[in-house]
Amino acid sequence: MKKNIKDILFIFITIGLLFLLSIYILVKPVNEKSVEENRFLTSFRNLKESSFLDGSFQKIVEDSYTDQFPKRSYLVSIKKKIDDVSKNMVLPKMTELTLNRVSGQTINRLGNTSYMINMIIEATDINKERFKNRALEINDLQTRHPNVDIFVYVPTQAHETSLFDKDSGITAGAPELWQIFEDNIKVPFKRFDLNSFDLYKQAYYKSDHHPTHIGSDIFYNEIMNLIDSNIETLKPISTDCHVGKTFYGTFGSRTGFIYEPDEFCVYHYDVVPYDVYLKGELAPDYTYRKDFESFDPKSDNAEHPYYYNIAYKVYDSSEFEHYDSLMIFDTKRPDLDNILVIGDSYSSSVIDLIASHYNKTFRMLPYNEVIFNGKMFDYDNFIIDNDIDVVLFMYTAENYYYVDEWADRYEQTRILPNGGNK
Amino acid sequence: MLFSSLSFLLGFLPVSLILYFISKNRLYRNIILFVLSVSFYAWGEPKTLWLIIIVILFNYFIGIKIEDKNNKSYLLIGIIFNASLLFFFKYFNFFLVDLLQIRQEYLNIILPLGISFYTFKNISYLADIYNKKTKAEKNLLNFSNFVLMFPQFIAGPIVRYETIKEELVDRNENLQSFSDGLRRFIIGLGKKIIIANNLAIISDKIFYEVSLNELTTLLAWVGAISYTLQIYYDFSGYSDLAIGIAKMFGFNFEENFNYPYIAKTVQEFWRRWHISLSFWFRDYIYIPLGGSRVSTIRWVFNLFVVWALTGLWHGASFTFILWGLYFGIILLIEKFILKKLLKDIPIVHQILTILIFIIGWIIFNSNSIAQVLAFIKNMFIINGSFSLNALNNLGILYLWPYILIGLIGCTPIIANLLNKLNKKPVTGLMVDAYLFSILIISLILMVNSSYVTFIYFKF
Repeated sequence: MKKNIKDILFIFITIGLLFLLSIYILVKPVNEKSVEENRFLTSFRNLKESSFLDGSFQKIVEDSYTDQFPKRSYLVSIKKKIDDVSKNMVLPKMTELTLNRVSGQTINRLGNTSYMINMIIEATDINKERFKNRALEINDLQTRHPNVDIFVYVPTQAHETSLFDKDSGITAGAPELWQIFEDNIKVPFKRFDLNSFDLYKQAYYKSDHHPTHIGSDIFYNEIMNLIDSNIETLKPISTDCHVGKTFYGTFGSRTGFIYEPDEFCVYHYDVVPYDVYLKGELAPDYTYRKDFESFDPKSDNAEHPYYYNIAYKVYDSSEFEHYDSLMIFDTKRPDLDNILVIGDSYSSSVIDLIASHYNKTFRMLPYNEVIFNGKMFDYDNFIIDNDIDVVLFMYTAENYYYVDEWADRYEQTRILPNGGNK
Repeated sequence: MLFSSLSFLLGFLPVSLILYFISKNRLYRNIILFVLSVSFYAWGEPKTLWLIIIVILFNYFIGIKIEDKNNKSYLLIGIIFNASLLFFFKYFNFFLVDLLQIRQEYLNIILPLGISFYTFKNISYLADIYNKKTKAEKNLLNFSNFVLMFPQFIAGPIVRYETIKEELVDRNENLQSFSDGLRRFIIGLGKKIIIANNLAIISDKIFYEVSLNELTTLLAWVGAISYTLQIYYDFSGYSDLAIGIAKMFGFNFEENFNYPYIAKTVQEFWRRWHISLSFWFRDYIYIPLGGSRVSTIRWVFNLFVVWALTGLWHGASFTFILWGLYFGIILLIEKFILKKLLKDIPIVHQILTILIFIIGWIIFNSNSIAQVLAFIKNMFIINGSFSLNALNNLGILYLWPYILIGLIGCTPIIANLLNKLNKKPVTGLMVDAYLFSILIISLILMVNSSYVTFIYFKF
């Protein structure tokens, strides 16, 4: 082959590829959302709101080329697979209970499986102090409100257990921290006994830290038994498994292991009808959860556009596009008690089930009270003002100690007299 | 805009090629090149566009003045003007806050893109006119293209006017130079995207996320080697990109790297590393100071001035000055001791050279002297486990192939093989297929990666 022809061929193919890609990105239908990352993608449409001088125009153009690149998710997953193969070539064979760190310091895969968990909690002095303080704060709340029944339930996560100690050569700190809490707490307290890997696999997703429908059902039954051992809990009347409809949990989206998504099922219960109130107003009907097939994960619900809320079985105010710390579930049965559930996303997964046992169920996310309303939650006045009979603390260990780059979750969830106001 | 961004590859480059090659007229092509260069600069820093316009106009007129009057005063004015701008934008805060401690807080000064490169280029232009090595450029468009031409504007090489003065007026854009430039561009893209960016993940983790008391011998070596390779592939990759693009437009820049890591001596290393900068310091600082044809004391002084300035050029901080002085001292030791001592055992001298530049890069990349010492201590005194789990726990073990590729690629082995294959038509096609696969892999990684800036970008 003549040199000229070879050069022409090379130029034609390479420059041609760049031209074709460039034109294709400009003319193809815009991809608006990334299911895997749970975020909106940038496109050239966003240029309308940009300025060249402040650099936002340039940023949108740069991001648009990356975000709108054809088969973007597929290319990311190819890269991750290659990375995984590279690592496993040199890493000794692991058991499934060996912590295999990914994404820097924050997430562990379990051996070479697809399961991922948070970093192991350490029993540092500050953590010990915080676990003890939280117990004392709850005791104080009980002392200030002797007519209210207070309960503490902890949905134990994998990184709080000793399941990985032996194979990973570590000592998990959480058992010691929970022992400190248990030694100090004076109200009824229970932790989900996550004592085997098999149970973990049933109760939690692979790519996310939230519970599956089975995990949520376990939590619900254990909570109601903690409150009243004679209570008759709701049983699932049907199971709705969404085989082939996958979702990518937060671990998946943070680590980029998006080629191993989760499939999920949802239990349906015969719950007592209720109205939901947000910011004092009746929330719109939320029926798509009951009719999954009509739910369009790419168009419904701006903030959580994908399967998250259904997969997590989560009721969350953001689903109604009301960002608030408080949701009220009202079954309109004034003869029953009112309950205040102090929670996080884990409590959201059981809140409608708990609501079936009460007149009014107040679900408060205290950290959101700080984030959205700029103040600490005032337990004392809330209990009095809303005629609360039962208080249930049902949030994860993170609320007992956690500090990250965004916030100090422990400080946000302090239980101070009158919300810290003198 | 980075050459290694999709917006450049799929947006700026195709548009530039269409606009440039659609016109057959030389003047139009030069105007288009100027407009493209202004757009390229404005894309990155629209707010400092005024500065580069002033710099171009000033140097254009002062250059003509120097030629007309042949008066040293005009040269001095030119040098002071260019150096003052560099000093203000790059070193003002360092001198006032860090060195003299006159102020407590930094002033909010934006470092204009490429200022270190175009300042040196302009000074060499003015000095060459004064020394009658070249004539002043009378055509403002050609001069603007010399200063601002986008392939070399932001991160070099420091192209001298002498090198491209004829090509500014007329050049031969042909199939051969275009395809060669394209091939070179893809090689640079692969160096930057495939190797440097991945090695940066390793070195950033070890240098910036591992505390000094957690550092082990394994981590110190992996971090040091990764950074040594990263900075080479990053910078030489950028030079390849610049040389390649320039070639596509008919310009021939001189080489900026010549396999520096195979150097047998430290002196040779600096003849192979960032050649345009080394030669700039030689021609415009070292030789005017008297070079080596002076007394030994004066020579040592000259050497230290050059190396302190070399360090300072790379960044306004004490570690960069230390890095420069480190090489000044090493070159002294090499000249007076090592060359004699190791004359008969060159392999030992070469190994020592490798260790010297690895330590040099540790100084270059460290935040503090304590970090430098911790790295050196851990590298040479065995400490901690050699288990690969330590790398896995940092989330960087999967990147080991890039170190391996980096080590092989910093020698001429692959280039020699490709040159050999290129001599036959059929195997030449294999080389092109290999380059095409580098382009595809680079595209995949660009889609994958977040925005990563060039290390040398703001120097």
